[in-house]
Amino acid sequence: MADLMDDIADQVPALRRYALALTQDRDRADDLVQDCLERAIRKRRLWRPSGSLKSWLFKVMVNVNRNQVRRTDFARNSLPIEEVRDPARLSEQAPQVNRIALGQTAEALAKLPEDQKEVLTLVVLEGVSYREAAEILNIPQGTVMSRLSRARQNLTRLTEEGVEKTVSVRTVK
Amino acid sequence: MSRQDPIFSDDEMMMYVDGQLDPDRVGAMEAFLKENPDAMEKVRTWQQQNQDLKALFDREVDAPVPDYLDPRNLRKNRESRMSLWRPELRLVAASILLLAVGLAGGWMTRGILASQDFSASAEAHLAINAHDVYSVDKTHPVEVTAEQSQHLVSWLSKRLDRQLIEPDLSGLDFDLIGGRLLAATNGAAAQFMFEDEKGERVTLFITPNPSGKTSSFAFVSQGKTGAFYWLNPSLSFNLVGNLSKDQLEGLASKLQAQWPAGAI
Repeated sequence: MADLMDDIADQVPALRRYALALTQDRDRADDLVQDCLERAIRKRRLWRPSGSLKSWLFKVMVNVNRNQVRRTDFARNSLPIEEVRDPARLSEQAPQVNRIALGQTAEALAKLPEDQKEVLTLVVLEGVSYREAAEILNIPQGTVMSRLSRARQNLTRLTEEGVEKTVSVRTVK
Repeated sequence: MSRQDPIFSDDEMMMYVDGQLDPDRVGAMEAFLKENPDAMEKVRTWQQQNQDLKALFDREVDAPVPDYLDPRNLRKNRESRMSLWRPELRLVAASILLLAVGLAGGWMTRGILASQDFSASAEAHLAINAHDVYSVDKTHPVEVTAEQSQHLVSWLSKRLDRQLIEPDLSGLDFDLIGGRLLAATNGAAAQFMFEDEKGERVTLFITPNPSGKTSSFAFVSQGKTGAFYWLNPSLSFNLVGNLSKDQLEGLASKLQAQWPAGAI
C-alpha cells in the first residue's frame, strides 16, 4: 500500500496542473487536488491494478470537479475576475511569451463551457490519447473529438473578442 | 478545398495538431497543408492555442508540492482520524444496544394495536445495527462494489424477489460504494452503502413489504445514528446514518422519489 501512495504522489504535479487549468485559481486548484487525493485514498480498493493509475486519478479529479462546479455554479460570477484571470498569477512567466495574448487565452478558456474546458486541457496539457480522454471523462471517443473541436472554435472566437475589447479599451485610454 | 488527393477532414487535422495522427499519414498531411492555405491557417491557430495553454499551465508541474498534498501524509491523517473514531463508535454501539432493549420493551407494552408500527420500528433497529456494524468496516464495508452495480442490483433483486433499482444520491454528493445481502426478521434484506467526500457513510436497508401498505416517513434514532423509514407498496426502506435529521431526511426524500410507488 505504501507503494501505491508513492505512485499517487508521482501524479500530484500533473494533477495540480490540470486542477489549475480547470479552476484558474491557485487556492481552488489545490483544494480540488486535496479533495481528489482524499477521495482516491478512500476509494483505493476500487482501483484495479490492471488499469492505469494516472487515468484513474484523473477520473476521480474530473468527478470531484464536476460535483463542485455543479454546487458552486451560481456563485461563480462573484469571483474577482481580474485577479483570477491574471496570467502572472497562474504561472511564472516564461520570458519570450506574449503576456497579453496569454491573458486573452486564459480569459477565453475561463469562458468555455465546463465540458469543453475539461477535454481541451486534458488533451493538450496531459497529452493523453483521445481514447484515454474518453475513458477519463466517461464519454465516447466521438464525443471527445466533437467537444474538442467545439472547444477550439470557441476559444478562437473568444480570444478574438478579447483582442477587440483590449484594443477598444486602449483606444479609450 | 482543393481537388488534391488525399483530402483531410477537420478531425484528422486536429489529430495531427494533437500528435495523434497515424505516423504513416503525417507526410501526406503536411503536403496537404502546404497546398491548402485555409487548412494551414486552421492548423496554425490550433497549434498556437496548444502552445498558449502549455505556456499558461506547464510550469505548474515543476512547482514544489506542499506537504499537505502529499498522499502519504493525507493517508496518515486519515488513519489517525479513523482510529480516534472507532473506540467511540464501539461505545455508541453498546449504548445503542441497551437503548434498543429499552425501546423494544417500551414498544411491546404498547400492545398489539401498534403492531404495524412495532414491526416497522423493529426493522429500523435492525437497519441501524447493520449500519453500525458495516459502515465502520475498513476492509469490507460492502460485499459487491459499485463498479459492479448492475450485478449488485440484479443479485439483490433476485434474493428479495422484488425489482430493485440502483439508488442514486450523487446529486447530494453521496456516491454509491456498493452493497450486501443481509438477514432480516422475515428473510433477506439488501443494504446499499453510500459515502460522501468526507468519508461519511449512509446505508439504505431494504426488505420486501408483504403487507402492501404504504407509509410516510418516520424517524428513529439511537445514540448518534438515525434512521428514516418508509414503505411503498412493495418494499420497506430504512435510510440510516450519523447525519443530522434534516440531512438524513433530504437524502431519504431523494430516494423515495426515485422509487416509483407502484414498482413491484
